[in-house]
Amino acid sequence: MKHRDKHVFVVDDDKSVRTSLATLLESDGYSVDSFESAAAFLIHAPNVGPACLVLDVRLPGLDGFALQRQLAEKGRMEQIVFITGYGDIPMGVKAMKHGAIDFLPKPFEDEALLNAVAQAIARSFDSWRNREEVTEIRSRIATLTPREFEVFRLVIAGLLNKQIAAELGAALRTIKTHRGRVMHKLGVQSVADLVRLAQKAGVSPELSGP
Amino acid sequence: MVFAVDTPEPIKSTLALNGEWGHLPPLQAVDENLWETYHIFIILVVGAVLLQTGLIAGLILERLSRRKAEASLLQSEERMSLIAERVNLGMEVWDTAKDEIWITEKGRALLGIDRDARVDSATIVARIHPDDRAAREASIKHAIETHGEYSTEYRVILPDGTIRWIGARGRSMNSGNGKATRLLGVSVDVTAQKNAQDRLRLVVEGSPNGIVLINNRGRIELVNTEAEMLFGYWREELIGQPVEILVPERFREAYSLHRAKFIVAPKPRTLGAGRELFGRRKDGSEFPVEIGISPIQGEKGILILAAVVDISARKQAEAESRLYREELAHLARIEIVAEMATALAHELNQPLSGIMNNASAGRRFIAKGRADMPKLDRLLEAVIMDARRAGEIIRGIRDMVRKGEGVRTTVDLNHIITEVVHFVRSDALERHCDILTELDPKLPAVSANPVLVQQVLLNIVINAFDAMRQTPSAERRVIIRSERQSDGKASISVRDFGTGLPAENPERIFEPFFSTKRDGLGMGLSIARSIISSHGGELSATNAEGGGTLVHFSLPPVEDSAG
Repeated sequence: MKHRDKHVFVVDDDKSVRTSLATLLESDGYSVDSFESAAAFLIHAPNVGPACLVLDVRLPGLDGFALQRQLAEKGRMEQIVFITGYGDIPMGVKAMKHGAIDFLPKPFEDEALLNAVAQAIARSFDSWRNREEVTEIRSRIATLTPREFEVFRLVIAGLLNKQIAAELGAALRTIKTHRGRVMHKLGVQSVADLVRLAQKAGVSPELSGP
Repeated sequence: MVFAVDTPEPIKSTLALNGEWGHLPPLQAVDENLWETYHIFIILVVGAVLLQTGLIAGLILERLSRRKAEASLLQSEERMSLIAERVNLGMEVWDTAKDEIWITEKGRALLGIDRDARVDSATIVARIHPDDRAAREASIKHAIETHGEYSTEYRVILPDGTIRWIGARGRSMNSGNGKATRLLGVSVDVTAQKNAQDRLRLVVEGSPNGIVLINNRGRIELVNTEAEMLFGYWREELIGQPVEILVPERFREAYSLHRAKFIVAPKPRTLGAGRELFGRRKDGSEFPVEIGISPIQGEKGILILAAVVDISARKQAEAESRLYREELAHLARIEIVAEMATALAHELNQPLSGIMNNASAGRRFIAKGRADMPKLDRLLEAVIMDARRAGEIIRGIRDMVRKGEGVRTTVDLNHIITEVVHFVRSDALERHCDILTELDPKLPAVSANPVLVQQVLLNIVINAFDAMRQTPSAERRVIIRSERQSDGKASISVRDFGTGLPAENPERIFEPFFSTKRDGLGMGLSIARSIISSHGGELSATNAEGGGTLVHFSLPPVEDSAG
């Protein structure tokens, strides 16, 4: 997938705001797609990767907050910068609580908008990269045999080889072999790396019985 | 008994002389002197015999006549009792000496006494409600003492416990020896009548209206409890008094006239509808009333039945609801202004955003050396379009506001002052502040938008309140004065006893966004001044002599501004 690392979506029902925003963003080197409603955005920009969405709060039909909620439910990665002509503090708090990057009352200084957009894109990439990494780790974990997975979970629980052998009723040598294969398949050098990787992938340690 | 009389002394002595002594006077002489000697004795004997006979005859005659009289009395009693039975009257005859009471069957039935039982006064008293015994007793006693009549009412408790009202009348029959021996009485069941009276009394007493019955001389005949409560008098203090004591002095004359007219042409009607009527309490205080009057034909001429209702509560409720409506209207106006301001802000924010964005973008292109002329021209064109749009929004709002100003009517500023005073009354109370008005009755009418002028005055008065926060509450007062100026304009001034104007540059208070209040927007006086000048008037403020501020505005009279 080609990363459009300087792409911004604009959703505002006011044409002059919409086009002037596009021009401003283009002047800073972004490519821009603008839409006059939330529905139009959902139709024309399905499942984009990391990106920034500059979103007006008051929109005909689906409003800015409703769109924010929908995108979150779909697990989409656009980071949102809200703009509004009616800004008040409770509204801003609400937007930020739901993960918006910024909440800018119109008219705003160009610097304020461009900073927010840059931050949004950076964060969107971070989360995208994070998600890519998790996907990649999980695919590696998927290559483990059931026995190797068991050993993996006991190792990250902090058990020594001898204890694992006793736990699984296997020879110490067999456990050592399994452990070596787990490290190799997952591409880590140390137990510490293995624990970090498990955390990222969301694998929990096996808690052995007494 | 007559013959048992002892032989008189002279005869005894004569016999003794003749029998025992021979030398007595000759017999002839004796015969000759017998009448002479004994005639007094003979007369006495005959007289005595006659007297005795007469007495006996008299006694026999008297007994006979008495029997006859008794028989005729009994006959007449029986006849009467027969009639009485027919008309449901009980009759009784009481022999006070023997304490024997003869009573008709109906009489027994009324009192719940058995047919054959012997009846004396105790039998009857026992039937009578203990509370009523004394009154009945007194009434009868009085009749006996004066040989007169009695009339009394009492309750009888029947054997089954029910209560019956008896109306009894009677007279004392004089037997001639000065001591009443008989009392003749009739009694009748008046329970139904009593109950009806009770109901009527209950209706009158229980009425939520004060009821006052007035006779044709204007005197109070009857009042109920509610009337006592309303006017603060006890009924004993009112009965017989002229009804004018319930009317405030200033209305008394007019009232008496009305009453006289009413007596001449009595027709039920309601007083107080459409104009204010007041009642006067004992303590002299007054309260608003509504009075319904109806004529009643009494035995001694026309009575006036007046039903009085205290309408203070209603008046107060009306005043409160009026105040509430006004406050609501005021809030609605504020709401509209707030709504307009928000809409205006949003509408203007859009083109302003466009202008900012386009201008910023242009500068960025230039800074990066990527600016070409067609691109910059497009940006500048967009900027102009947005600026034009912003201008149109503002023009539209100004037109809207102007439309509101256009509604001008002939306005009595005194009326507006009264309204504003009424409107801020609760504020004033809360702030322990007096509002005094000095209104010129010759104030010329002005042509103005009453809502806007009211708003101006309201603003000034509220400012006056605010300026007196530090003033001791005894001195906190606002004086609103209206006056016809020598140039013919209507002038209104509002004087407070507060902090006064800022020492340097007092005119600053009229500048937009200047405020001495922590939460003030600073628009009030600036808007007030522009409203007054749009009406062709002037608004100014000066420090008053003796402290405080005097805000003054004047408006031209109707004739001037019409031109």
